[in-house]
Amino acid sequence: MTEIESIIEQELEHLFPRRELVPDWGEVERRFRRPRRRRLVALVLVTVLVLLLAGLSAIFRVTGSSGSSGLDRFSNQGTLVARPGVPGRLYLLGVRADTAFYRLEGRKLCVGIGWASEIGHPGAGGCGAHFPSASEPVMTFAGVVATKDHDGRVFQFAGLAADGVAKLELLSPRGAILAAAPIRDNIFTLPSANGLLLRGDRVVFLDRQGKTVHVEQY
Amino acid sequence: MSVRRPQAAVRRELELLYRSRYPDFVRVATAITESNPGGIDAVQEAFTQALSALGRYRHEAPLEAWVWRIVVNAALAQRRGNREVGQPERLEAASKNGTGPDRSGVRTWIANLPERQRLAVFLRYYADLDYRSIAVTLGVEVGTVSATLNAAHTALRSSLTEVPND
Repeated sequence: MTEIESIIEQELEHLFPRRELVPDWGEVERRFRRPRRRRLVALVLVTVLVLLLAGLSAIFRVTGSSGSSGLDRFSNQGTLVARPGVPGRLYLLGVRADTAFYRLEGRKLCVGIGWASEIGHPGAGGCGAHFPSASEPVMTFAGVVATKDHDGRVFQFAGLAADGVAKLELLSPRGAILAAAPIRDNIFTLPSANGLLLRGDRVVFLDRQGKTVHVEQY
Repeated sequence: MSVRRPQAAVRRELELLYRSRYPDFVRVATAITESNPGGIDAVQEAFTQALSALGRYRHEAPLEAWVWRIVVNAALAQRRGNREVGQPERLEAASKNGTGPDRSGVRTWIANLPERQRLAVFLRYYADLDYRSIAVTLGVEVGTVSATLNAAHTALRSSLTEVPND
């Protein structure tokens, strides 16, 4: 150990000393059993919400912007995923972190998301009334968990965007950038938003010139 | 090639990890949340989340590093929640009120580190994690951890040189 490392170790010991603590695994299990029901209810609610994407603006204050190009295009066609015995064709658009994105064959652009570990099984999906367009360039899927301390903590934030949307940023109520992610191949996740996205935060979507094209207020 | 273990076995391993490393988890979480009860609550919440997410645990990474990641995220969320409800227990205050004066300036230096560097320092010195585990925990490359800690050490060395001891 170097001298610097030794100094840091000593000072850190003063700052937050090691304490004799008794672990309480029983409480972990009680917490695990308790919120599980709420999580299940929340997941069902999220699925319903996703299917009613057109109505999301009733919950999230959403604003759009005109003047940017490519907001009415969605180029990623994906690759066909085999689903024996299930009608309709499903195309995998890509995978980001632990989320897989899909396009469902049809006249309208219908999309879905699921876990990356279960390719071919979208857990939620929907068809945006005006997606993609300047008024609806983004379709988001936000899974919310109710916890003891927070009434709405996002555990998954993912979505799809028109060609003209290049980046998203999570902003605090005061405008500080808490997290950011690029949008490639029309799909995105914001893994670092997990557990952090709270009421009052904004998610801002930008085009390649850095111009805001869409805002979701939580 | 990774070997997928039965979920019951992973659950037992998770409980053993909790029991054996509990003080270290709480210490790191307390340092991040800057609050003693906040640190304990963050660890309990993190292991609750880990139990819920066991089915999504990828066996390529060590279980401990996966859990550390959840603990760090839970502590960061806890800290943010505390600040929103006006309960800031700043590291700067802890440095002033800690046992003994901050003669070396190390505590102030830690308080002023960028978040990733501070997290790397906590994981290295409070949890004694190796660079690979820190990399998995913070979701960065091992080289980034090495560079991050080297930058932190260099910055401290400079500050110690600039400020003479009294």
